[in-house]
Amino acid sequence: MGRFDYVARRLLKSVAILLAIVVMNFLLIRMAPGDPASVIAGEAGAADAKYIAQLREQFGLDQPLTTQLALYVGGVVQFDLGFSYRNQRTVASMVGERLPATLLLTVTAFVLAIGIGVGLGVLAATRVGTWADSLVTVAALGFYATPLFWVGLMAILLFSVNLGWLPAFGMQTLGSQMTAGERAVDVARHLVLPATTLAVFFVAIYARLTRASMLEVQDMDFVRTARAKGLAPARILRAHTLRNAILPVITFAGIQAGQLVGGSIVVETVFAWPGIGRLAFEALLQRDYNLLLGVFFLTSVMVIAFNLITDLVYSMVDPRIEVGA
Amino acid sequence: MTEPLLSVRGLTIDLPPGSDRPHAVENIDFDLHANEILCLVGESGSGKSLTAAAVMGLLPQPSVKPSAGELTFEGRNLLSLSEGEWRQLRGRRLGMIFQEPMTALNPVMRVSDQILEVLQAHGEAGGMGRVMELLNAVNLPDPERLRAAYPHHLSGGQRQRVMIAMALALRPTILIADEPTTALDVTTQAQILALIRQLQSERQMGVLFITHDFGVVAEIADKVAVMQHGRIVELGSKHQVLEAPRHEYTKRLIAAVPTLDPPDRRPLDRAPTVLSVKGLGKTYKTAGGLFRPKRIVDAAKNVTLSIRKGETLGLVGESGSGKTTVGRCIIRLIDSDKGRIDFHGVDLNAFKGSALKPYRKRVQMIFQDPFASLNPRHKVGDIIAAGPIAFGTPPADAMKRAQDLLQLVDLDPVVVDRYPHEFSGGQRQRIGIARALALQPELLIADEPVSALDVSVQAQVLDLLADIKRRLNLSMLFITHDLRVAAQVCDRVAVMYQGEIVEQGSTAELFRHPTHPYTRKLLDAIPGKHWRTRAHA
Repeated sequence: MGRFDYVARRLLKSVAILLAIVVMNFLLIRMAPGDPASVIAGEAGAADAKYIAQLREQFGLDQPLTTQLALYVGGVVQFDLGFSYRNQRTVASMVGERLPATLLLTVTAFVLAIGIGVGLGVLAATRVGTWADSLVTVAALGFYATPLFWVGLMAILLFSVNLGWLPAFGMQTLGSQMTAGERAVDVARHLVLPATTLAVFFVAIYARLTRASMLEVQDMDFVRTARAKGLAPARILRAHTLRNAILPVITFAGIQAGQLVGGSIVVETVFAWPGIGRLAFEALLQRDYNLLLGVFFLTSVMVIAFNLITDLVYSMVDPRIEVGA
Repeated sequence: MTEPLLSVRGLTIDLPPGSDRPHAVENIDFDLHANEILCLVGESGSGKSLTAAAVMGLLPQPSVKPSAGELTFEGRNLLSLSEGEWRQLRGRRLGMIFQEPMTALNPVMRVSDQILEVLQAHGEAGGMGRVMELLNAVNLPDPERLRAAYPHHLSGGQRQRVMIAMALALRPTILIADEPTTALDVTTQAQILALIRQLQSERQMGVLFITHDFGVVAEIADKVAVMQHGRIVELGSKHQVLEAPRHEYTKRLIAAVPTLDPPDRRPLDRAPTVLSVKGLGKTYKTAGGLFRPKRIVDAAKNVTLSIRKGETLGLVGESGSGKTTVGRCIIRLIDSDKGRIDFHGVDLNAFKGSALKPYRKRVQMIFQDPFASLNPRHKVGDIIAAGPIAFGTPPADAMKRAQDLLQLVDLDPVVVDRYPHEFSGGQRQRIGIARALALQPELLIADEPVSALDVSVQAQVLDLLADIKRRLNLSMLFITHDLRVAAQVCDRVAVMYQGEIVEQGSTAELFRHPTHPYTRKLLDAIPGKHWRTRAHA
């Protein structure tokens, strides 16, 4: 049983899960009151029954629910996410345009959260009982308890409004002539606040988790064996303690990846970051069924992909997990 | 007399305030010479492992620290070394192997890398080639394959060999072995003891060997130091300590070790049969998946045995042989796949669920781990009375009976209101026995009831079981890996190997004239088998 078979099996399962999610999303959205025809008609100031019926026919909303579902699922299977009548564009092109921004934001936040969180956790665990440990523990508790949007607003207030160090919103400075290098720096400067804001909550979680896990592993027999071999403390910490303590952190990171995508909706809204999170927010207000379903589909794909990657990474880091065994 | 490698004088190790005694180790003296195995023997809590840790500089400081004395090694007092100086000694001059081969190796690092690490840490040349040599030296099969292996790929014995290879990589002058065979099966234990003996004499090492098992002492020691409550109460040559002990405690410990000569017992041929198991089979399957093959393990194959009224049948074998599976099938904790379990002529396998209830009270079990098998949140009285109450006894009567039972197992009846954590291991096992007896069973299934206990406590619990069995005329299935215990307790013995009973017969006959090769191998592997058989019988 090789890794290839395992990935193939997991991908097959993922397809089944995705289909179930698509069906469920479709039905849930239809249960909410209002539809795109009534919103468009209302905005046009012509909400008479005849016009709405005409729009419904045009959008295919007059068909029985099962027919609509079959049509939609049939399209998704062929990677056709439908058409946004509201925006007069295909959903695929709209989410495709926004995806890179969201990926940039979430992946950066993920890396920051793991890097800083694990670093602080190790720092606290190796200095347990000192002021450094207390500081990390208390700070982690504080960040853990603070709502994301508030952290974002305060960061804007401090670093953009008062100090003027970093841009407050958007992904790049508009309307300026820049070389590729300058543009990269510009995007990076825009990225700092939203990515850090999104990461803060997870930094707190990983710091606490790493600290607890390190303290547990420190007392294990194989760490005593490592000492009995005459290894240097740095080597014991890296190759024996941290190497084992990181395992629960990885498991947790996989589960948390989904929440990261969810958190990005709030952060994108606060920082006007042009990602799919904001697209979802707009589509929701406009009852743009197809666009909303498209966003949901994409986020499910991301969550499932994050989970699969985590499981694969875990199987590489922990040899006891034999994939497929 | 040559200069000793290690000289311990007046060593005292303090325990943190609030412990049951102020010193873990108090004012002990001993010398370890080259080409000598010194066994530190004692019961749990006697301070033997902390003594070993002190010699390696591995005490869990600052809570436990040496407060007086000298450990002289190569002209230096070890107690005055800095951490950096300790690191130079550990691994290079002092090697150590530990009790639990399952947890003493890093689970996420290749075993070859874990050995290589020792060489690298001390700037030793040779690299992987030297690692392969070391794996060869500890007789591991197929060292090439082991290059890529992780600890979980290896058996307990193989892991312990890896530990030994690691400890001896840099040819230390002293090897400290802390209960290195306690977690191993008896046949594996015999091999590991032989390996330690062989390497020790090849390299003229001094070995400080910690153990609680006098059989192991008889097998491997040159000199013996007996520890009690942190003090060395007797120190001498193996012959002197084992054959002519002077201290009362040593005498008591040695007397508590069961001998391998089964006492003659009257046959129970005429007693009625209580339990008759025929063709019992249990197969564990892990379900396969779309791309995954099924895994099938035959834990019990065609097991046939019977127990008469008042008889104790021993079920012996190594870990994984299927002993516990058979016990659990009989008491219907798990369902067997094949065969009959006749209890007084009624096939228990024919019943399911509540229909079994009347039989549940007639067959009871005593479990191995007295710490894990009692609910820590329940009072002792409730634990014992729960069974009778479930069968309709009024709670007040059940509690009265619980007190009587505690008296029967030599505990004070007032302890009904205490919780399990307030008792020692031996006391807890007495509670476990009282619980099993509460329903007045006819058949007891005792699954390794004394293997978690110290030898003197073990002797008391075995005496208690024998006494109760005689008074209540109980039948018993006694599951054990310890052939010494089996020899003393059982009327008949059945030997299990890979799910099958390969031989059964009266204990005396089976111990004197084993016919199956596996039985002979088991008997041969018992440590110190020649000690206390001829001379002391």
